[in-house]
Amino acid sequence: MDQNITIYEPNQRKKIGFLMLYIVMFKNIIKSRELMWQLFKRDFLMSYKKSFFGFSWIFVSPIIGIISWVFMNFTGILNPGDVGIPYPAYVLISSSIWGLFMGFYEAASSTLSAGSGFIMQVKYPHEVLLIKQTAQHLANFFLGFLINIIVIIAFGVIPSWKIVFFPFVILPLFLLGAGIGLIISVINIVAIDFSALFNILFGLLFYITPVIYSSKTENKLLATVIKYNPLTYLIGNARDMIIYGQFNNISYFAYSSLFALFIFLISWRLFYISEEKAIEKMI
Amino acid sequence: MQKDTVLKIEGLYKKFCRTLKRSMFYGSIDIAKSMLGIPYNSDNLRKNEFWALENINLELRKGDTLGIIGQNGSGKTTLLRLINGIFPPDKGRITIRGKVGALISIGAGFHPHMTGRENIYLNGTILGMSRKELNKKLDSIIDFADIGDFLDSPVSTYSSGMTVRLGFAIAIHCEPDILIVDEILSVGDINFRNKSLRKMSEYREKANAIIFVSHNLEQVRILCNEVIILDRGKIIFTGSTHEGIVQYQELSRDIRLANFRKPKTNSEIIISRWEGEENGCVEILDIGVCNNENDKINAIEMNSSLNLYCSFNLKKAVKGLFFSFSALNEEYKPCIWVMSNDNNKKSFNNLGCGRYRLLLKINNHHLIPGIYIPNIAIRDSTSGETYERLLPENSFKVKSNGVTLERGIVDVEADWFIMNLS
Repeated sequence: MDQNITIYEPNQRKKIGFLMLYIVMFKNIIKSRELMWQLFKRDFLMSYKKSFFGFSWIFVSPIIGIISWVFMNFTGILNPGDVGIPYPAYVLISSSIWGLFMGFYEAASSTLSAGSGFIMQVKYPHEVLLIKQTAQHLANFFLGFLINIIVIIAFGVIPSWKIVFFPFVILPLFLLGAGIGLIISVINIVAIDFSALFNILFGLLFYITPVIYSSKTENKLLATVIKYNPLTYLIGNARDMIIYGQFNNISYFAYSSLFALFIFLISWRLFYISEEKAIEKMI
Repeated sequence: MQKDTVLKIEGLYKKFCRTLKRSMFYGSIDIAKSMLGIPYNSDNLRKNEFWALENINLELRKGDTLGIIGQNGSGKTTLLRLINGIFPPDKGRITIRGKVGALISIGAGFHPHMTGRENIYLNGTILGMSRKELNKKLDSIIDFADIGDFLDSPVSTYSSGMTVRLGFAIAIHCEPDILIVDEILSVGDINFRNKSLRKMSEYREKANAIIFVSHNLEQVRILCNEVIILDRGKIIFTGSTHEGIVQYQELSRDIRLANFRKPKTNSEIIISRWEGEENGCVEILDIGVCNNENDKINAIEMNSSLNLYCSFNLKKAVKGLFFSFSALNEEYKPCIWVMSNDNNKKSFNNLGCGRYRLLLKINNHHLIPGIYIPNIAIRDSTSGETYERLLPENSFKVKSNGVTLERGIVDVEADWFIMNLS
């Protein structure tokens, strides 16, 4: 009789120490690699199985996006200010990084609902769903991103070699998106009001972040908003690194990253201690 | 915790909410509280809340097979989910030694477009098996599921029986220390069921403990050495399987009896079949069971006498009447059916107007424990006209003597012998 003893008590997860909790979650994820892989395989590789064009659908959306940006720029609807390179190339990279951020948020906000098929029947660490959701999103993103890179090359913009740092630069975007998403994921089980609200807020956020326009705006109010918006630096630097090979406002980027890390750590903890209370409302 | 204890539940409570909006409201508050680090008060019930489990105490030792029986909604599944760690308790504590595995998750996470083989790996991983373990058990799982060439076809092309068989085959190969089985041995055909039962009893030798939830009392009787009865979230019985089953049947008989006796709950068709049209000659007032002192009762003992009575109002004088009495079981099948003129035993002639009370005494009714509905027919012996009435709301119960189960139609004494013929 040397097996592990498991104890279930009320408010159990709250009693775990602050740092210990992260270690527990991290260990759970490491232990569940195989589960993550199996679920990823199921949801990603199978998602296009019942379709004639299969994975080509991943490329359809960036291509449609490119056409619409080129059209809007051509007709003069959008006047983004001087960005130094052909505007469609600029906006393409910019908006796909915004899409990456939104995707991180969406992936995280469906963490618990992604497992709803068997969450009531089997005990397993639900943290793995976050990783699986994110991996699925990244896989979709990178395939589309590849197309975008090819397109900007066609516009005569050669990406900087610094693109190799791209995975590190998008890490804060993940932390921020997932941080907000995890909380929404728990609340969403009880009532969907919050996710509806956040979807609207994210729509607004899109316009106060220099995604489809340049950060060098003349409007004072917008300039202030942009200045204090961490996404300005997180998205801006990821984009500028690819198209200009530059890294601006390093200190602001660092603060924004720390902010993102803080949000993520807090919300991951909150997710962990409150999700078990939420799951019983899933019935 | 003692050395050979594998599961211990102490003072366990779990509450749920009856209405959706309130449940959402409480859920938001609880989540907000737990996020802010305020311990929520689980001790009291708020409006519209109820205890789904109340003060559950339980201890399982190595080698135990525990049966959990109870009506729908008595808290069985909730208890299993708590033991499985899916819901946190509101009060109390569960201590488990070893890994818990549940056979409640047949085909959890199956993807219809993946092949059977791929789904074995997917589902097996969800159930907590490692790839190495699965590689080793693959042949045995395939063999057990017995789905032949379909193994490499997508699960969406399977019949429902095949899907369940595959799911069950994976789940039963999980081999946890404590196995939870929830009402699944009813799947598949008789061959598959037998195979499952064989595997279960094989497994019983190896596992530390099995918890078995089923409505099939025969299976509980064979597999379990101890049962608990859950009733509205409380354990009302803990003890030997046989005693538990007898008591559970008594409990469910009481519930069924109450349902039968509720007026107008039965199918209109069945009642109208017996009610017929009043022709004005006989009006049947009441039918029922009484004791030797002629008091109306609704429960009688096994192997005792059965006294049936019928009050009727004769509106005009008749030359002769004869009576037919029957007791129908819950499926409306007559179990006892006697007629007053059988073998010319009795004739009731020249009855004038007025109220009568007919009494029928059956010395030993031999009925098994259950619910019975009294039925009477009054016939005119010259014209053959029939006046018939069935009264489900006057049903009565035959109580178990604490030993006998509900099986068959009549209770007889049986002696068993075995002879060696070789």
